[in-house]
Amino acid sequence: MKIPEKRGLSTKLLGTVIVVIVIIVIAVVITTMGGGGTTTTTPTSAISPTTTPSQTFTTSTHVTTSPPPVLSGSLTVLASSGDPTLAPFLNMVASDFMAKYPGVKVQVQLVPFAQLVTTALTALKSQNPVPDVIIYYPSQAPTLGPYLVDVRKYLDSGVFNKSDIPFSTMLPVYLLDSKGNIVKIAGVPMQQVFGYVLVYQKHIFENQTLQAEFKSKYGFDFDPLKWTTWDQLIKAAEFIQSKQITKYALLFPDGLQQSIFNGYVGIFYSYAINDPCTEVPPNSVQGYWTYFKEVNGKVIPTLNCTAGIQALETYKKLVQFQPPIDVQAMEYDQLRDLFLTGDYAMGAAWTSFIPVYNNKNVSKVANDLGIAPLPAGATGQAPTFAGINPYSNNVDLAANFIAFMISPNEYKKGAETIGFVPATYSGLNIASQVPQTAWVAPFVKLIASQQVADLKRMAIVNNIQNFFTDLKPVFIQEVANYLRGKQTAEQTVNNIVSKWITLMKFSSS
Amino acid sequence: MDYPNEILIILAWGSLLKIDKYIFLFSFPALVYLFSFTIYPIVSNFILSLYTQDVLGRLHWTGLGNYLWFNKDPFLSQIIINTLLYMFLTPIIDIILAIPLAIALKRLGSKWLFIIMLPSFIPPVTAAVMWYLMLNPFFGLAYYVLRWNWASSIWTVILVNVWRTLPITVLIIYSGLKSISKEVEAAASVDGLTGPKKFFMIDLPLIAPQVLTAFILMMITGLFTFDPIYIGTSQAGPRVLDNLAYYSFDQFYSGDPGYAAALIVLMSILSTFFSILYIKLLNMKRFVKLPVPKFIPSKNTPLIVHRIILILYMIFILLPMIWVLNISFKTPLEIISIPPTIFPEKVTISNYQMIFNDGLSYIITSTSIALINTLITLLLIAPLSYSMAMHKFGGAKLLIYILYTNATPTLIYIIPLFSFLRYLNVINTWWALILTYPIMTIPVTTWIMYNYYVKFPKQIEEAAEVDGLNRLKVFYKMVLPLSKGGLSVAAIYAFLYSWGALIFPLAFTYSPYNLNKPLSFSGAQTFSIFIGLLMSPVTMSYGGVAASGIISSIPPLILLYLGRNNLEKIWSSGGV
Repeated sequence: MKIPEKRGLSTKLLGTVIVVIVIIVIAVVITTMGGGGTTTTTPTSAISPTTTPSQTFTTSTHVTTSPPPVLSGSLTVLASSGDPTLAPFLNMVASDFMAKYPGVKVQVQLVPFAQLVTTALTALKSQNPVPDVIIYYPSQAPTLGPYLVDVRKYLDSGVFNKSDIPFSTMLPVYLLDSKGNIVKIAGVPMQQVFGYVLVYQKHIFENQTLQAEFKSKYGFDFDPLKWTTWDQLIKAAEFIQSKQITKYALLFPDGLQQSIFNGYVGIFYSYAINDPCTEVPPNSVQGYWTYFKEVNGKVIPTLNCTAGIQALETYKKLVQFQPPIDVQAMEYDQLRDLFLTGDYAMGAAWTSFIPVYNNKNVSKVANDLGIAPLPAGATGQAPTFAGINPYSNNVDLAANFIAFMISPNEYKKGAETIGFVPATYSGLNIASQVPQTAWVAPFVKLIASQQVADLKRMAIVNNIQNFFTDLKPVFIQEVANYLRGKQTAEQTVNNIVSKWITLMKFSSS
Repeated sequence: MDYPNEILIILAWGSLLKIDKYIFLFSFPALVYLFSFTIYPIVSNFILSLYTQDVLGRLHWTGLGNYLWFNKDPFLSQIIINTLLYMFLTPIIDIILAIPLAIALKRLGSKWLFIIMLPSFIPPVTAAVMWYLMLNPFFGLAYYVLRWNWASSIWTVILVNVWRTLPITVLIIYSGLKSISKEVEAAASVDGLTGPKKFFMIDLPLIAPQVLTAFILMMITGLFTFDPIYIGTSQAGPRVLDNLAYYSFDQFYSGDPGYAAALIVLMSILSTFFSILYIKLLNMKRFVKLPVPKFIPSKNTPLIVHRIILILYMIFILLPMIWVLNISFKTPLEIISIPPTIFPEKVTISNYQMIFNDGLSYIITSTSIALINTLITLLLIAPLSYSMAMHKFGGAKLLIYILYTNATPTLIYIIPLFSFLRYLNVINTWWALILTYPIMTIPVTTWIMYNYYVKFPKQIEEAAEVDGLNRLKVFYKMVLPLSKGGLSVAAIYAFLYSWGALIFPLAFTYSPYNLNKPLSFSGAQTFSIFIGLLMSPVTMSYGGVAASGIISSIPPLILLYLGRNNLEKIWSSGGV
């Protein structure tokens, strides 16, 4: 073949060619995004009956009857590592499911906690069929939820036993429109995590001399399981600190990334239910929704009600027993690590830390751990959820796997062999009778008591687009300044409220 | 000569575009890869910046709404200030500290260079963890020095940055000093100029290109500061340490990808501006004579001063590494004991055993992918950079585009590339990483080899052409064999970037390499993911993280040792 002689295009023409190529690329991109305000392909469309991929299992409307249906297919379950009971439980369930249904293959894949969203979101946005099941946390629900299957059909058909799932536990996966209507339920809870709870070194509170002295001085029992007010907790901490029983009396979250935000909401709730200004009903589920209410069609924060100020003042008293935040802010890592050292008599912690606290290879408080709810109903829930990938080739099979996972039998086995904490009523009742997990008993009553939820009001915070990206940082910075003594509680709440009103950005949905 | 049809088509395109056909042939593979894998994501990111996402995941057109929010964003001004601080303070401090050390090395000999280079070859997340473990006010060395919340300050972020980038700055400036010709040295000596006076009057103006190169390279590193911010935010508070790179990442995964995309556009504009400035400054070939105060002495600094400087630097460089090595041999109970023990009371190798028992498949994947990607990168960039440097292919525009892609976060590539990889059915296989890793490594290695070929003697090429060899043969038979020094340095950087990569493996893989079916190459989670698995918020394994940090440093350090003699040559006189 002969090489053509050197002849070229003019620069102008070359430039035109490049511009045309770029325009074509832009057009492709816009077409992919569905531009001009039209919606992209959303998971909701993916789960409509006309677009659901063909299933290997089609009897999803039937409750399991004997003989068991024949299932086949493969599932990949994506979860994050680190929780010492989660991965073993998932592997146990996978093994049992495969034993029951030999035609099914289940693989559990672990990724780092901080990167679960990266891995899962990339797969979901790209409509990849794998992973089939995603195990995620409440903080990840707003990001992943929009892309997961709406499980209402499985709740309504009985695949998931609706009556066995606490209403309050499900709320993080309710996707609501601006009017409070449920648009989607993006998963079911499969593991319960309570936070914060009060952990303590049992031997201190079982000391009869201290018990007698304390009762005589303060008039109530030296028993965390019996405290009902913040004042009682603070007085106990003062007592322990004055006697220097441990180096520090109380470890309370004041970490500047998340813990201040998580720590405050429970304290605020405990005051809000008694403050008419906040309009938070008793027996309601606590949460960030309590920070807002609607007045004459306008959304206003409630933090500057008396409850907000009281909560801040109590918060400051609770963190006085530990090093100040300019030495060490108590974030997730510190709540886990510092209580292990035995230097703290009490601490506020997530129940997911309990296996770590009881691990004698790393903990100086192992086998001496007491667990109690925080006073005044401040303990909340942060369950782990199981969601289904709408692009999975085995959506119904995935649902059946999840149903199997949250069945009483599997939960009983999980609690007995691993110390896994179930998420359902029946599971929690079973767990409360297993020695390893008997500590859940007082928390079961807590869950059962939280029944009220004004979904329209809950939709407010859901629809504030920048609640976590802008409003949360403002809150944390202002509260940190208060804890440093730079401003009063009133100034703090007023600053927060005025900045929030300026910054709130509402979703277009 | 007979060529395959495919080659002839490429040659024909080169002719059509008025470009030397061989130069076009050299550059074609790298250009095709670079443009096909980068243009779509870059354009796609810009389009995304014109949309906003609602809580149900749907995108809505907002036009310039995200850009208008820049004005209302309460944190953006501070974040831009942080970005500029990281961008400018890192290289400024680097250069101020590097100059005396480079001078000391010139006087004392370069045998210490290998040790000084160590921090630059430690993966960024490992470096951040090393410093924060050391500065922990309860478990770290800081307990004995100053029990303060070090992690809450942007100065700690800058400190970690400087620790990692100072060695390369030293290397670049040292290389510049070494390349000052003997004639100049002799002439200065005849004029009675020695010591600091000679440095300011003669040496500094001559090494201005190296200083500028170091400034720009470390400025780009500063722009992309991420890991120290990621680890330090829990102590500093939200947005206090953030720069644009971290802020955009946080926005993306908090459900506001449109705003994240707008921030990335802003970041890219910043880096492109400085890249263009750099090119223009390098083109100004002027000998700048600086005014030197009379009190600056003109006599050689005593050797003892240089030795003290070297010792101080060694302490700064080695202390965090020694502390982490310390932790890696401690039991979990001893690691969290207060006060911390300086040396392990009970030495254990269990952390290392755990790494090799549980992490072997991850290590195999990372090592293999890094080696394969290094080879692919070199095959692509060697001819491209030769064409750019020796024959001005693409001119300043191509150079700027390459610097621009070096300054774009990998975040923008993952969604577009995932669809492509899924189409090829290679998700969660080694192929997914092999296909995508060059995006990260081509820009920086092209830049390294470009600098190398700019200094390459043109006479060699001309003589070969006179002997009748065409450009193709000249390159492969004459130039390439003589480029081993430059290629070894490019190989080190390609390996380093590949070894420490995290975003691509997180997006494209979800299980470790299946050692039971090795030839399937399925499962491709890397060692960086394994380190992440150890850093769980529930069961953080400090000993495991420390041990994996030490292990993750070994392969790059082996390459560093092998290529150490070539490192200084690559920077010995930079410029366009």
